Amino acid sequence: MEYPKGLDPYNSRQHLLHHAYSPLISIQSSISADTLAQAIASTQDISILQLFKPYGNNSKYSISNQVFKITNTQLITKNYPSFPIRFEPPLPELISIKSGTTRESSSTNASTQSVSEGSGGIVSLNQLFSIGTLELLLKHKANEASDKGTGTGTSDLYLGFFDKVITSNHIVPFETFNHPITQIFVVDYAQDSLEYLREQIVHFRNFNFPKFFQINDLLMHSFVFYDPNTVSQQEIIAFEQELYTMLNMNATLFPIQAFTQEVETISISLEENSTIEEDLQRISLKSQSTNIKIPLSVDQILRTKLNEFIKKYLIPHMEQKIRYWDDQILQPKKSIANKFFSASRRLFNNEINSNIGFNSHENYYHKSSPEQAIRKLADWSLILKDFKYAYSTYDLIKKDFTNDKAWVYVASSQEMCIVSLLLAQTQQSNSNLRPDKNTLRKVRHDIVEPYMDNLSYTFKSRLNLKSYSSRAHLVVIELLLCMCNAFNISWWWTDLIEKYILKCIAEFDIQLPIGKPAVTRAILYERLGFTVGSSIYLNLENTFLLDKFFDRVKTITDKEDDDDQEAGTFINEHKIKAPINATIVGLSRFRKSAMWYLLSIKEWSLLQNKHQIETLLTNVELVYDPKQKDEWYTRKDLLLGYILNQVGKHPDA
Amino acid sequence: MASYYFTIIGTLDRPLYELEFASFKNPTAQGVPGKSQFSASVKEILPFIANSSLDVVEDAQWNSNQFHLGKIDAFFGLQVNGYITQGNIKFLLCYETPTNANLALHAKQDDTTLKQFFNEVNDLYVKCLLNPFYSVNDAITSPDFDLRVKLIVRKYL
Repeated sequence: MEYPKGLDPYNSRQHLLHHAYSPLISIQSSISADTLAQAIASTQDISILQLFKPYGNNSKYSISNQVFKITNTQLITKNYPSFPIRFEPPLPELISIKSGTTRESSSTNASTQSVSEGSGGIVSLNQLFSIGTLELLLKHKANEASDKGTGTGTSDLYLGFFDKVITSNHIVPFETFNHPITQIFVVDYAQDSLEYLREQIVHFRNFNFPKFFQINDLLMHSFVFYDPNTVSQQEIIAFEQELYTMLNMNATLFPIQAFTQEVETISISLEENSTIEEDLQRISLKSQSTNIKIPLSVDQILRTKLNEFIKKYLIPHMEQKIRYWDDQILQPKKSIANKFFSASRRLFNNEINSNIGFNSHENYYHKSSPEQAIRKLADWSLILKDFKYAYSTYDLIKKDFTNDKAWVYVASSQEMCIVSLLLAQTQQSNSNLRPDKNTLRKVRHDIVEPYMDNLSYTFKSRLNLKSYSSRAHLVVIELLLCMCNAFNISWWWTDLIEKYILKCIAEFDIQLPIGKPAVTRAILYERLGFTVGSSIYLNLENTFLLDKFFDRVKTITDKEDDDDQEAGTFINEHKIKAPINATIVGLSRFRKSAMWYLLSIKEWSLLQNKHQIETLLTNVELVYDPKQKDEWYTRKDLLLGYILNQVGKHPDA
Repeated sequence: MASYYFTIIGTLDRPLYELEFASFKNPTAQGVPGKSQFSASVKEILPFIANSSLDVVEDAQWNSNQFHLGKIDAFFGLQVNGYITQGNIKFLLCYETPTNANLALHAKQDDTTLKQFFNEVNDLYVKCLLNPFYSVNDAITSPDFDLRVKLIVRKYL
């Protein structure tokens, strides 16, 4: 028996790696390439970017025998079944969208902080997401699910919420996950010339990038679409070579026939990796469908070619950069000589080059400073799933940030320290090695607790960036849950997780209208119920006791008449029955979990969402079985009785 | 004037006796002395809060050789104190955290008075058990029991 039902934390861990810690690829397409995309999908309102976006998730849209080989700095190669990437618009566009919204909001909201107002684009620190809009989106999703009556369970809703919290394309100086790794120019061979491409590149390079963004790390690449029927193989290979010699740029070739009358199509969801704003826009423009139909042959080509691009260009580029930074910046920094000289350097440094070092006025490190490069190295190695190396790098660079009083960098690297550490601990490969008590004590008391306190202070009080703190909490909650699951060590973490979830709820409550029910609150209460309910304080060898408990519950609820003994047998009616949970007294928290579920149900009942109430009632059944008559909990003055009446399931009705 | 919710829970997790009341000490202008001031939203979940803290009581009972388990749980500003009898009957008292003004006063009286309160209620409960017409896990409906609990409440809380 599975209890409670909820989202598997490993699933959310997977989503975290796919949507937050995956390479960001920016795409710029020519007009004719966009026209081609519209012809492929046979719809007017689609661009190349939208066409590619879903295919970035190559665990969902995979090819057969898909394997990605990644070699780390210790030259150990590991295979991974998927390596998702995120397609986003080019950097200038991303920055201009964000600065546009900032300028708008800064007139009304004084809390927004301008960070970099160089001669280039303005990049400012503003909230990751607005809880108000998230609430709006979730309400829509919940209503949609309840209209359908089936499908989206509450766990999907939580996953949706989690996805939206972690998905962002904000460019900030202090973390480089959203700094593009590759810039791709998509051209149509039939329409666009080499000259056009050159112009595009020059135009792109001339953009005044923010001072913390290192354009030299950007891999320039091009996708060339051509029609295999009209263009010969030699011709296109010659073009590819010419591209390389003239512009020093590699290309991936897509042999696509746009105008085929193919019957077989495949439906692709456009909702992949979209942010809250994009989703809300889609909802407000009701006409747009969330799916597009793509001919099967084109679908296959897109999948295989993207796979080729990742394997041949993207991963080697990242590996090469990481090795270079490791060799040139990190190792010299770790060396013993550097430790001797670093103190003297700090004393006698006369700030000759003002570009190097922390710009405390605008809150960023210059792109050429070693600190910014090391932070990028850590981020990239996390993307390449080398969590241990990433952890040691974050830990190292954190000290430098603290020395420079670069608080936002400190907070961000503290967050990543915890995340990379927990990711490393919860990797499937080492799941049989349970960490010992001392390690756990160190992780909890020296890393997770102090860092979380510290970073939430920095984000909330120093910078007024509450959403960053909330995101950090939610991510850490999921990873801690993963850890509880993997090693069966709930007693280490449940109280901490409970504390963090309650903190998040309190944080969101401030920003939501007072006294009104909220979907976010309901979802978080539900997650709390799941957390508490799944914490069983039993050793692995004693888990059979839990099964015994479930068996008992089942037999008692199945047949009430347990006195079907032979007639004439003496039955002592006053004999006290053993409690149901006799085998696991004090080792489970089912009643506590039911309490949190009830609070969640109450929220849903105020939101009048019957579907969610009914789904959640299954999680309460174990403790408060609504089918039992004359029980105290179905009394009409109590919450459960009131709710059962509302959904028409009251046993006395 | 703090509000309290007191309940006796039987071995099968069913409440046998419930009482909502407020302190008779430091009466304020608003409200009748002794009448609980829980809001409606709290009132409807009080028995569930008490029931959910049984998990913690059952865990805490192995760590202590006392019947009085002290403060065992907290829930959104509601504190829960527990007491377990020899016969595995639990007494639970949920009360609102006092405001800053009478915090010091509360801290002082808290543990010892609550302990005495629980002990006296236990005496009463044992007397109730001695009644040949009462068997374990039945609801306690005796008006005399109710009255006497209220007297103890008035004495200690």
